[in-house]
Amino acid sequence: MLAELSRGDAVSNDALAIHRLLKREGYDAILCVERANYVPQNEKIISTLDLSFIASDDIVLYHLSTGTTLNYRFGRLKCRKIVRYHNITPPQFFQNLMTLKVASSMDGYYGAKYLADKVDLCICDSDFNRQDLIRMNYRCPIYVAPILMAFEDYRTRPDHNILQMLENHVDIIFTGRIAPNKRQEDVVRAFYYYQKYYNPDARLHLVGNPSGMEPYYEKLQGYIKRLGGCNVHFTGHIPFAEMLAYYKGADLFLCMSDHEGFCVPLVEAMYFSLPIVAKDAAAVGETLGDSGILLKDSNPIEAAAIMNRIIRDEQLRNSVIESEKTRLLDFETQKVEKQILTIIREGI
Amino acid sequence: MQQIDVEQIMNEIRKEIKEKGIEEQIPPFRDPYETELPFAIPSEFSMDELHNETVNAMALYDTAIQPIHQVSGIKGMIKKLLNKAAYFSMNTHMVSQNTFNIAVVNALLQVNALAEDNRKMQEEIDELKKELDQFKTHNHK
Repeated sequence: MLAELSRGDAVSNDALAIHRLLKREGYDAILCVERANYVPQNEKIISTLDLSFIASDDIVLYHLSTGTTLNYRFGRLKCRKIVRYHNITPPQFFQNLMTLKVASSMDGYYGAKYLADKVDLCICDSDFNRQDLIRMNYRCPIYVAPILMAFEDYRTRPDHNILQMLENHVDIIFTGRIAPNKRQEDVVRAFYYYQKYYNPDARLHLVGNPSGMEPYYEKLQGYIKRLGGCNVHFTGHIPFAEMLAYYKGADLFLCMSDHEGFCVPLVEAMYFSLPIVAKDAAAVGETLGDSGILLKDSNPIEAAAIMNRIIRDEQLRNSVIESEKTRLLDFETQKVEKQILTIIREGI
Repeated sequence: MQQIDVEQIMNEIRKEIKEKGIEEQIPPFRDPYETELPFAIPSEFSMDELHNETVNAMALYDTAIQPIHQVSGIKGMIKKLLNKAAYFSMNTHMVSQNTFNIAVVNALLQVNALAEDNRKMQEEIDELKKELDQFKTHNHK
């Protein structure tokens, strides 16, 4: 059960992957959604409008990530309950920009707190998220299992035009919706210095959907203009094949996020052997493990210099990519599937 | 796999930056007038806090522009004129804002009443628990 099913969204993908895993394992699994923005192939979706069909011996696995009345309705269900906690972006990130987002985020926290004594088991996608639940007084067993990535989707053909466009330049990317907690402004700042001192022809591609975050998006565009344009491109919401092409054709992945419950794009970058430079904040360091290059703060000049070092020094770049390949093994589909199944079977 | 000594690389980079004399030169993204959130999710319920905020909301619900009656001198005339102009353009917004504020105050008063009911019920529960304990002890003897 989840609040919103959207194409390309990390929570939706995880929910779908777990749902398919459970079906494959012989569970009579149903996908229950409050708002479905698309219907995945070969899947039947049931609306959360009427939950009276849920019996006391059923197990509901609820993906908690946002403020919705479903948080409370799930809490009142008389059945066995599992929360898959993906984290809620703290409201202070939206202050002065999006009052509705502030309210939704606060509602999410209230909902999460409300559920503290009403669930039998929690599965968080990072230890950072587990700590969040402990702070909210969750007393049930809390396990950690990473996001279940459907890597077979990444084996599809990337968009040829984008791949071609990314040739003959140094291209830096960051993928993720345009949002204040992702600190795209810090990515822009680091790129500004990289371009100025090391590579004037370099390009930055901010791959992500700005929908719902327009005030921040406009402010970001204004900031880039103030810096002189500096070759920064917003892709907006793009088809999956185009996103794959950005990962495949880019030279470096730069993440300056301040708040991530897991950060799926890091694993995607690892999958495409893209060297990663990321700021150590929230769950970012945990997801990277010993791989990539982890920055202590968002100093843009240092970020620019390390980007330059990785791009120019082949030996260092190969070492970074090798470290990411090793880390990627921890997110292998079968490995995570086994973890999740063991938790569900033994925990409830 | 060759281990990457990030700290060593960063130290080299810092030295390099210093030598080149590269310094921050671009304006910050955040505006200086940006503030912290004026509220936070409370860790526990506080009856006093609820009362205080309800009283604040009751005191400040009316955002209407108050007309200026007493006028003296040219300054007063200008003030009255500006007041009238503001009233003319803002009044519709103020009326809807006040309607919203009144609804919020009423909702807060309802929450206050609920909190008071809860408090009374808690007292009753505590009393009944005491009686039950006494009854258990008496029966045990």
